Amino acid sequence: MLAGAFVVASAAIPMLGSIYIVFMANMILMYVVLAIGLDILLGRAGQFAFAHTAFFGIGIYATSLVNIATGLPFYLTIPIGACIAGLVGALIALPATRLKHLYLGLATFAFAEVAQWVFNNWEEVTGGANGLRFQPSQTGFGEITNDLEAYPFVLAIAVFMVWITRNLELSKLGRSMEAIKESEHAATASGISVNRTKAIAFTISAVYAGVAGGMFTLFQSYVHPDVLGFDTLVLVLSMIVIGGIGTLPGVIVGVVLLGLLPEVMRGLESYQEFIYGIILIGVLMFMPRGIWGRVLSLRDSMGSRKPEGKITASQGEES
Amino acid sequence: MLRVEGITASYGSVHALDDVSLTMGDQIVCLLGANGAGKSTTLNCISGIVQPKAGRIFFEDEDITGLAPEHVVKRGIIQVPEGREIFSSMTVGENILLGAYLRSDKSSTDDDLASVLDYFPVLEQRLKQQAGTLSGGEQQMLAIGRALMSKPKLLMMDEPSLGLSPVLVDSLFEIIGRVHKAGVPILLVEQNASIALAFSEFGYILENGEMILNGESAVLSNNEAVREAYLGL
Repeated sequence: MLAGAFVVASAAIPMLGSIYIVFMANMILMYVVLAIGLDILLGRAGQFAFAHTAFFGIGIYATSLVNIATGLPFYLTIPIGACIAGLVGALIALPATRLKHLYLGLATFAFAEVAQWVFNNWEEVTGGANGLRFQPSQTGFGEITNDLEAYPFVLAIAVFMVWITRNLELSKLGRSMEAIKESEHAATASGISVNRTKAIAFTISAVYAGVAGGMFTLFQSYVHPDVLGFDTLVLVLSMIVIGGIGTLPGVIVGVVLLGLLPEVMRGLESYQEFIYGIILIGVLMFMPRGIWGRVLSLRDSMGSRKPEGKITASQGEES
Repeated sequence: MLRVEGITASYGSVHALDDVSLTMGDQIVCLLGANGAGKSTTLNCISGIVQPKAGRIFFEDEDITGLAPEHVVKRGIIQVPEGREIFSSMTVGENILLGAYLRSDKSSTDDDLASVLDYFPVLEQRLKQQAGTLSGGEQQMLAIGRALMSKPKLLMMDEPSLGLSPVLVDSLFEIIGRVHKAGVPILLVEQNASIALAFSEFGYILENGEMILNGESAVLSNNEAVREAYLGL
């Protein structure tokens, strides 16, 4: 139901007319893919890895460079870009699966910093600190030259990725990710290969970031390495935590909320960071499982008022 | 069926096992010893979590030394880890079904679920309950139930009595006895030597990573040194 409302609301956006609103919608849809990708690794597999912006950047540069070099339509260049991001993700996964907790966080963060340094300094390829100007994406019938033209494709990709995520949740792989997050010992005892599952989660997460990078090239015309740094990582992390880590509807709620925040707070720019911090602290204090976690526990406590209701199981990831 | 031949293992420079051997058929065999004697390390070597530095492990006459844990599980050696490792934010039902992770035969999975619930009726009422809200004894039963879903050819239990009240320990061992009667050989690691010797047919005793004694459980129970060191008599 939520998914339906999401699609209807998204489809209505261009009718609102303003090209700025369409730009916002594109950004939010891209962040949906970026955030659910990070949430697969963080919220489902329980791996504190922070290299997401690196894979996002690889997706952006790879997709646009392939577009510049070949002029292939976007439905080929984006998968190519995503595959390259996934490939690098798989390579990083090999050493990363040997690390845990804080060490994994630091190592992956270091990788993200190195990647940003490369984006900034590999001038022949990335344009370095001058940034990289994209060429318009090809549809096979023409070019995408503005936000409105990009919007239907951006929306379609986001819906497709959400649908994939829903299927992943219910799959054996999704189950084994949840299992290694809960207890690596118990997962091992059940015959789940912990390292393999981590490596797959890593790769999938990088592919999502790569797809988000490809979406970025559809409606943007330029990238500067500055957007591929710590700020973006913190924004995506906050979206996940505020919305509800490990839950698909929660992450979408968090993305939409934080995506709209700058708009709501227009005129209050100087207080933006402050308000932002207050929201994050408030959510962490009063809704530790995020907005969606709060919704679920309210629903559960209403369900348990039935006469035979004992302690109801938390329905966790159901939507 | 299981043959461990002279395995040696260490964590860094600390020697955990030195030339440990044991053999078992389809009995209940217990492995006794004090804290840090190497009991869990022995199980972890068999289940592939720890790689032995030397020695070989055979199961059903095949060499399984150095296999990855998931491949050991595939061969039918299932470990119930120490400390009631369960998936605490999943439901009891989801926990049990994860035990059948490597299997795809739906119909016999249903049969096994029925037989697990037959061993542990208390879990049936709690299938939809979050596993972390179970009591300690129920969590141990859940961990064993999950292991049984994997259709073990050999069940290895690491300190199942840990932290349970004496009454619960008795009823747990009664169930372990029934599981064994149903045809599952059991390798049992215990600190509670008296109940382990009472329920097993054969025993091994580890001390500082070395196998110092083995024999029929009834004989071990009457051994002067065992009585003094492990039974407190």
